[in-house]
Amino acid sequence: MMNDKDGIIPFPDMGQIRDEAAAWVAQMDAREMTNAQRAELHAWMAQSPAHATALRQFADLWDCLDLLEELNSLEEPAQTPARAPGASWTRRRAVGAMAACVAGIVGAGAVYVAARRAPPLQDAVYETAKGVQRTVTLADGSTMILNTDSRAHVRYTKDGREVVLSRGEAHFDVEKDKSRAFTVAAGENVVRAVGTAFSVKVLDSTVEVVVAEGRVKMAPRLAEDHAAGALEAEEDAASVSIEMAAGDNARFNRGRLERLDSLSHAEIDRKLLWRKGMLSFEGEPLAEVILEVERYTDFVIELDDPGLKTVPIGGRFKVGDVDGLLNALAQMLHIEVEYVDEKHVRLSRSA
Amino acid sequence: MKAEKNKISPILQAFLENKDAIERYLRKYLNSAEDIEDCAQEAFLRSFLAESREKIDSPKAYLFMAAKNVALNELAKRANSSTRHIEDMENPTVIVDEKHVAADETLDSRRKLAVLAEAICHMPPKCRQVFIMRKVDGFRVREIAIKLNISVSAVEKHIATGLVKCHDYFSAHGYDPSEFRKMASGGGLASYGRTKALEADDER
Repeated sequence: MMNDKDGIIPFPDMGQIRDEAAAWVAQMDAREMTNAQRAELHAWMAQSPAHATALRQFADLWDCLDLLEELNSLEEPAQTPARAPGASWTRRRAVGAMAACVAGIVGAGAVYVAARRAPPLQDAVYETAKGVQRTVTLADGSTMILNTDSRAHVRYTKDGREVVLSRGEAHFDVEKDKSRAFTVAAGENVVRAVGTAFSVKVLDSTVEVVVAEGRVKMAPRLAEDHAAGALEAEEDAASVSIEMAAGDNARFNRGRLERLDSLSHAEIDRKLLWRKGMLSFEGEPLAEVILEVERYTDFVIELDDPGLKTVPIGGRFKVGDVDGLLNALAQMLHIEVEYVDEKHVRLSRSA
Repeated sequence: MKAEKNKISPILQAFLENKDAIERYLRKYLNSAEDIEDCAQEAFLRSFLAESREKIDSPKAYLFMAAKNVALNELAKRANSSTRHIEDMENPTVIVDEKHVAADETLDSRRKLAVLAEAICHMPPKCRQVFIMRKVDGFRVREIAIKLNISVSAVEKHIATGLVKCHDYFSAHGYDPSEFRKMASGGGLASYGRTKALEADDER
């Protein structure tokens, strides 16, 4: 390695950067950082883009090792050794925590990246047809997954990141940017987020929001004609808004909160399974299941016998695999499936 | 220096040396090559976990025993699943059509788990122990320090050293941590061909 004293700028030593990045991550895991340490970390990261990248890589690596927790499910009860008491309650469920932590520090310091680049702008409309899903990476690196039959208008200005979801359902994984809030307008609501992951679904006059990570703020959307000015409108909105945290699932009707539940991790996963092209039901009535399935296809499914409406359904189905669903119904519930035409079936009870 | 580097955990060592023999042995129980490979992998994971909890005198024998147990469990599971539909009939709320999905997902996460376990096996023994306590058992650094009777900064050093080893293992094998992370948080899409295909379809 070159010596500074020779007046030669040393080429960044990747091995050293790597070791130091690992040490930072280990330190961040072990203790609360003081402000002085944060400042030190900022200074360290600001040395070169390679420093910032290395830190992010190690934070990702650290987080991905959380998967090892699954090994516990392999252990056979018979040979489980005496576990240290308290092992379960000390367990920290913090998936993605380190990466988020690092992202927070990068954001707060706005070290290398933000100082050099103007905020990315964008103005585009994305649409999906029935049965189609689409993943879009937005200008700032946030991702938007559009579900079937959806439409979103994305507008990034230098002051804000706005999405208008006029139809359907979308999941957002938002990159942190404190200077530009991320908002999604849907129906008569506005969801506001800084850095987080959540889904929004619009169906007739209802808006449903599921928060997978972080926090979001929900506010009623003000009709444009009463808004005296954008700023004022925002302030008003904030004063009557509700806050939602990870696991929260809310439903609004015409802008008013109808229901707010806190869901378990497993339930959230189930709610968001559509992102993997799957639908999952756990006892929903058949009528509701059919409504959900019809979102993904032009198929018309008619129930001949009103008694069938309330039959509870469970299971997982591939989005768009109507035949698979019908087959399962026919076999398990003794339902007769009659094809009226290619895109129209009628269900009735088998004799 | 070189000798130090090659000191991988005895279980991984034994697994790498006997993988073919274990798979041949599993043919007694299972037919498809894929099932055999999955079972072998699962046997490795179980043995890896056991190694982290107790000293294993004969890693090779342990692996064979684990492989046999996994295979027998698998066979028992299949025997049960053929009666499952009948049970479900009595309980009309359940229609089971999740076999293929569930299997796909576990497989994927098992494979990732095996990669992580292998990476851990490449760490020096003390690092390995600290990592397992932190990530598998879920102890905090302070608790690990007390249990091992070392200082917090010593634990930190082991973690930093282990992370570097793990990072090197990942880069040597071309793995990308961010893919694992997404999987761990349940939001992973990169690995789902369907979404990708749809996207490509749509993007013109």
